[in-house]
Amino acid sequence: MDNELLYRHVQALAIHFVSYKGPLPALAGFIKHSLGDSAPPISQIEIALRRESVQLELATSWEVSLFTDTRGLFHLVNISPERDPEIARRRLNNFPTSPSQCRWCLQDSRTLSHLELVPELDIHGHPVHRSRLHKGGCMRAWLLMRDLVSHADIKRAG
Amino acid sequence: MANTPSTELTPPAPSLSIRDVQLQCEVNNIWRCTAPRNTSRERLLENSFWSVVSNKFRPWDEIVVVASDRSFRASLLVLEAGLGYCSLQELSYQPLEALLASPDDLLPSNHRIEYGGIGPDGGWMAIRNSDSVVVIRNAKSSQECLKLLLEHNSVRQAK
Repeated sequence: MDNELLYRHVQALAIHFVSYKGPLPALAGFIKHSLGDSAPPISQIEIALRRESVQLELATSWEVSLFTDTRGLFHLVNISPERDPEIARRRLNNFPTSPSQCRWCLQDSRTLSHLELVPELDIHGHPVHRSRLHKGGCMRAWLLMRDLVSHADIKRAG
Repeated sequence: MANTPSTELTPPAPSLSIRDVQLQCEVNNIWRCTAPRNTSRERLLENSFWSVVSNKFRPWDEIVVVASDRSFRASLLVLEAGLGYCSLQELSYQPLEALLASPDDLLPSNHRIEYGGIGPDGGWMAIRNSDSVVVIRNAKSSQECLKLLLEHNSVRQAK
């Protein structure tokens, strides 16, 4: 199977769902449907998605975070950075309903949040109150967004 | 007499004794300070900037200053310090680039970046606002799209 084609479809799926949590066969099913008639069988897509190299490539080059949580479910999150400072500012000022939710992807880890989420640290190294994120792609995208806002503030002040 | 070399030798500095050798971490501290936004380089060396905290410092301490807006990192050496006064020497000052391009500095004006779905005309695209011409298409990610746009001839000529 052509890996680049797979990456493109996974990326489209991530952007469509923004953040998705579910079992791997369901995720592979979506991708098979997206690939159309030329799609390989679901089992083959599952094997590809489980591969670490594929997950790494998706995170580094395609702005898609694909990872497993403690319950064994797969998360597919779009981590393309926010480009509009005003939207970013609004997101920074709003907190999720539950403290066990990731602030970027808003997926609720419920009772396992202490295992899956790490607190966001401010510039002084202190945890930000009620702000916890998945430590991979979600944290990276969130910190980029925080920098975008602080940088936009300097531009405005200067 | 003037041509004869002087036979007087200056004695070398005396050898160190055990009391002269200490661990750096026992004697001095390395502090980290977060400077507020818009702190200038000159301001870092002013007495009044440190007046409230200067009693914490001891001579030969090092202070690493990071700006809260990530605009620089500086390293300062404390020469003397006490209640209300502090004399500092700048060791290094490194201005830092912003990590992410905010739309008003790296993204060329009159352009926007959008995702256009799967397919040969999809992917991440850079579009010129004035005439909706797609300048870059099918990029892997929005960051790559921005990079390709900045390298594109139409943008480089406009600069």
